[in-house]
Amino acid sequence: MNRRQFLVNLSVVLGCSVTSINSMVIAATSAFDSETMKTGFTEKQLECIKLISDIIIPHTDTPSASEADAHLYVDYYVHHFMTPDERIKFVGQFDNLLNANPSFLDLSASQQVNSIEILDGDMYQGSEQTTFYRKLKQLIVIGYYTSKIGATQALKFDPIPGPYQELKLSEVGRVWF
Amino acid sequence: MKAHNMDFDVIVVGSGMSGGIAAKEFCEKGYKTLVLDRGEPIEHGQYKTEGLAPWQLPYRGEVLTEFKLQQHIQKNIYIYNDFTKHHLINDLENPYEQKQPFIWYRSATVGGKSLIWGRQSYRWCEQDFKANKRDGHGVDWPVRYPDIAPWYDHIEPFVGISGSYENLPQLPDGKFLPPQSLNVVERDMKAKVEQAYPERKFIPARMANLSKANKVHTDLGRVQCQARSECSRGCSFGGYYSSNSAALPAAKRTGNLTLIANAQVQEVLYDDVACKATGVRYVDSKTGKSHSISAKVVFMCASTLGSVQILLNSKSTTFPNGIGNRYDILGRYIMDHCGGGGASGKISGYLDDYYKGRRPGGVYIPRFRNLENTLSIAKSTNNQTENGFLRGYGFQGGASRSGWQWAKNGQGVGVDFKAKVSQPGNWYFSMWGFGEVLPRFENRVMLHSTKTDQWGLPILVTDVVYKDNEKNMVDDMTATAVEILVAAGLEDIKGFEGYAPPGGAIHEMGGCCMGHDVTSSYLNKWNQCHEVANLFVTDGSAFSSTSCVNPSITFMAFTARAVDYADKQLKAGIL
Repeated sequence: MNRRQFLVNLSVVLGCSVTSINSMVIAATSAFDSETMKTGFTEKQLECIKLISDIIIPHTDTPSASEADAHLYVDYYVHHFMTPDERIKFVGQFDNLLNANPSFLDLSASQQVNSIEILDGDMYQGSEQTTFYRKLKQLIVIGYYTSKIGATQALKFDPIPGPYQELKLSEVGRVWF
Repeated sequence: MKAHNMDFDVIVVGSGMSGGIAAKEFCEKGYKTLVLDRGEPIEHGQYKTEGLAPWQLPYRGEVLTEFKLQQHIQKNIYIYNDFTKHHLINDLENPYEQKQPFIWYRSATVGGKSLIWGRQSYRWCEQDFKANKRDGHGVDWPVRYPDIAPWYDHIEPFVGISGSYENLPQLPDGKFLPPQSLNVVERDMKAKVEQAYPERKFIPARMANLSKANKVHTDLGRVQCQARSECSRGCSFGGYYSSNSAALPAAKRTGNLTLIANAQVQEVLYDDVACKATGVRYVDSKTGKSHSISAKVVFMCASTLGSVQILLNSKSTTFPNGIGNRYDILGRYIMDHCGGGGASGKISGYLDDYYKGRRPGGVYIPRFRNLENTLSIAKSTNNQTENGFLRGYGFQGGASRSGWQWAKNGQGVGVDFKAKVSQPGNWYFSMWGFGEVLPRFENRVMLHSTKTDQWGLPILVTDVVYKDNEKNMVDDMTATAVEILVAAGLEDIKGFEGYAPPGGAIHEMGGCCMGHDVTSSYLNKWNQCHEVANLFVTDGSAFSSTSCVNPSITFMAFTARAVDYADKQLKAGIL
């Protein structure tokens, strides 16, 4: 059984179109308990997210998205946070990207960058593809900038800044988390 | 002082904004005081999400759908996230019925909403207390500003309010800690706005955050605000005032405090022969067991709607419709602040200027509409309804530079994108109004005739609606906010409207209004029930009108004043 079919089947078991609160709670609990759900993305899917993450947030003077494990946050979020409905939609759209001919993974590095730039340029268009991309990008951005590496190196992080003071930007250097 | 044949001298129902102060004041005067709170116990200094970095929570602050379904009302509160959600109730377990839309935000912990409040603290003015009499809406307050002013003086130094001295009749000065500073953009805006509109003062927000810790604060372990802007998670520094950080510890150190959490008070008990309240009955929400406790005096501080609900359910032969409610006045005149109208815009330049720390509050623009005796009246042919509404509103706001969050939904890829995210963006200023809602007899809450919660308390039904006065006021907020930002020279100005239903401003008041007589009001000028001398109500339900300023510091001042009165009555043997 492929993953997509598995999720479709699982959605039946969990009752994805549920409206009653009780079954939603059961669904959420089951998602936590199921060993299968914990495995998350396949290696191929994860590799793809890692590539996209580093195209959006590459290594510069600070670490890249994948160096901060942003792709693992996407994985965790999709498989633990999303409702079954959201997850199936997201993974389905993702598979369309992966299974396209040619698949994203088969493109050359520059073609990959190029295709992400095109998707990004169209991100407010509202097509299925760009909707998926927007959500993926959002998760990558959150996964990176709220990670310890992202917040403390790519941004400026001070958990106990003390009294508010006016400073020159040059004295701070970067944007505050 | 000893309780004779009574379990306690005083029972205080609720430990939030008002209950904390009632407990402190009674305990410090030597009374054996029992505080009952329906919330979970919580220890100051042991706030479970305080200081956690975003990467220490699995969803980086976002709340699972599962919890949002349980908190389908609470999830709309502006502070709601994965760091704070446990400070709010589970709505499925605490139902109420909205005959008309009403958002009822409720605390899940001891300390009540004082743990999660917005901390803006302003005195009421003489015009506020005269408003009902002047325009005929609601019942005339039996107090005026000089009655309450000494009690602001009493409570402000303990709470710790940062503020600037402005000498404005509509916003009396208090006993302040040093003001928060306006930033460079706000200072320049202030100059421009006040030049264009001299009656619209642009002042630092007055906040219950310690800009400086005095001995009264450090004695309780409180220190200066650390500018984390994570107040609603709880603050071990005691940087902002909460019952948990200040009033309850102050009460506890006297040795006179007993606090019981998970105690859902069901009713105030009444003796039909002695014509007095004898105590309260509560259900332990963990065991389901019912307990009755006696005391000489009962103080209701269970939150505006919480107190009304319990009082309506306190039925006896004398008072079949709720204790002290002979004239169907209990639960009437429910109000909130209307608001949400405002504007935002961009300030060009100042790109070398930045700051450190997340300031607890920004700018306040005190009421300037329909004032009795200030510049605006002198300059205009004003009457009360010049602007299409009675009463007035104030604005809160602030200027800051945009952070990295735009990137969540922003365009860009690669090195340039990352470089852009790493630097602050432009300066933006936003402002939004809080307006005075008219008291209306027909705006009420009542008990459901058949439905009860799991502890047996009849659920509350809300029937509160705003009318044209509120709509016109909110429209004026939007238009005026735009006007102000134009005068300040902003760009890309966007006005916004906000017609949140009642409850949305979390400043709900009324229901046990203070007044002159028993037929038109529930409480007398001492927050004392007209019909039951040893029953006091000192939370927001006691308020006969709402002013337009944030109410909590005034709840505290009235509470301290009522305790002082009760103390004198007890000592005189009258209570």
